[in-house]
Amino acid sequence: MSAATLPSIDNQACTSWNELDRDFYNKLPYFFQAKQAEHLKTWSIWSKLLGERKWDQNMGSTGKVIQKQFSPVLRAHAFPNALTDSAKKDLVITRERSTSFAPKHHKFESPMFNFLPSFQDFLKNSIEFTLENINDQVTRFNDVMARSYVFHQSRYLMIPGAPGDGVLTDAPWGAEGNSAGTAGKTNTYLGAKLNGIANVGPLSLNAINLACSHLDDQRMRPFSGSELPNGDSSPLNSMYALVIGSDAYNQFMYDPFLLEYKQIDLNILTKGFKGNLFGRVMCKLEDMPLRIKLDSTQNPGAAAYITWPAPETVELNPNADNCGETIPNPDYVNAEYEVAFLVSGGAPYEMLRVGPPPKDFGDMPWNGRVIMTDDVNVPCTDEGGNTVWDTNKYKEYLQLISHLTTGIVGTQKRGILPILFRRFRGARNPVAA
Amino acid sequence: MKKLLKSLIAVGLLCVSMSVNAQTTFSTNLSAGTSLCLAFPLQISSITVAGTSAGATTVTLFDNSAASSTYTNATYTTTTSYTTNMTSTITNSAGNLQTNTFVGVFTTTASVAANTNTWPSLAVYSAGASSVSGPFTVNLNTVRGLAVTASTNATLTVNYRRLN
Repeated sequence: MSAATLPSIDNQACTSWNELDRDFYNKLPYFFQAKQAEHLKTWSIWSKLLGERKWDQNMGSTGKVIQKQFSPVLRAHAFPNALTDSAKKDLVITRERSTSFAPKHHKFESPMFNFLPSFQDFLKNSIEFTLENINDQVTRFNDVMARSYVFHQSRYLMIPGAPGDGVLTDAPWGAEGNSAGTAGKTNTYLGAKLNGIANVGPLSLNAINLACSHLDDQRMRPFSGSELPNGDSSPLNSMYALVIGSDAYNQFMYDPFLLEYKQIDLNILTKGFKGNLFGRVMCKLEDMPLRIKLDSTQNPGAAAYITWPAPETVELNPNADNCGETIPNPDYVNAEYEVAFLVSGGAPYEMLRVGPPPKDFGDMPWNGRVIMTDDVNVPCTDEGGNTVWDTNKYKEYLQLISHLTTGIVGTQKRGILPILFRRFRGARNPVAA
Repeated sequence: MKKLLKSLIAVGLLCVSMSVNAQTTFSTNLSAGTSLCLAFPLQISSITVAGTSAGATTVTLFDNSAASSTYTNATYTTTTSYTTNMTSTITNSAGNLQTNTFVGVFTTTASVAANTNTWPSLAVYSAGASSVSGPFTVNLNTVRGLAVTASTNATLTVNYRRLN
């Protein structure tokens, strides 16, 4: 049945089936729908737990915190002489000690944005979205910087399952770490410890209790409370803060100690475990705690055996439905070990608050605020085909930048105890890669 | 509503239990020396050791993914401290020599040389000649795998759950 030419006139009725090509008219190949990516907000944790110290211009490159020290209590006994005899005397000498620190800085940049995508693309606000994201990353950086400093500088390290109470007195300390894992608590040190302990334990209530006793032994002031007993024969009315990942906290409801001694009406089934531990420890949840994953392709004992996986990654498989999505890093999710921190009060570490830039550089933004700039160079090609740099005089490009000045100083490095533990999930299931 | 919640919780619990690997029994005849039994992370729930007619045996379990009871550590730095006295001698303004002795602790770093170490043993079991020891109920978690050193021929049976 032949189709009539369209349009046509004088056709015989009922002689042909005249269907129009389905792709005859223009249509959009897609209809884009915008959706805001949902993600958990970044909250700073460490800056709220630690103290603050100001740093201003003309104060040099290195700071030195000098502290008075009480004289040590040297007595286990006291046996003064009788009045008939000549008196003995105690000589009391106070000392000073000092800690050095330096203000640091770090920069954040977006790629160069050309004006064209903003003019023609469907999704608007990509620059504002990037700006908010850089803001988040700056907040996170400052928090992670504080955590890295605390981990490497801390005087002690606890590994549940290590001989005694699990606190390692031989941990390297007083030096900053580096990304290669060769400074501070080095990868080789951590590897030697994790290899040398038979069954590294979880962050059990027992381990936390031992960590509390350690801070008590170190005469560290609690984080809050009066430091007085609640009454005769009752525990101290004071709390330490425990910075902990959520799955370690979720584990508490399966803790053998809790299950054995819990109140009969503690409803962990539908209400979960909540509350302070032993009335001495309050937990502060960290969304992306510090984790260690062992690299099984390496020789145990080698520095590269210890890896510090990034919390998140990006799906890059072009055939995956979620190509381009920021997703949890499988190596981080399945990391075998994690670090929690038991924090005492009295601001054992202080975050630096760096003052304004020098007067003549007043426009220099360095407080971490994200700014938009067109002060960039643009590549172009000369007659010889070489790349030369021209100014952005046509204002076709812009960039988001942020310059953060920060720093941290540890004035009492026994005041925070990092606890490196084996991760367990659910009903005491160890996490494995 | 309560029924709905109950059923949701039941489905949740089912999902959790389904995501956990099943218990498996592994049995092997060991000869004297170190052998690799399993090369993946596991949770061991019971162990049985059977001696052969060759004589009594002692079996030592290690968390390792190779047929070896040792590993080599790279050099690392550690912290040591010891009690010591510090003496300071000054000449005061009157020209008298003044010696002060302070009692204290000296903390310093020390380098630990690279050396070969034996893995810490997870557990040690013995069985007499031609007799069976166990099953012993345990809760051992390994990160790397299971390697075993036997003093003489033996049969080892472990009940485990693979962790990955």
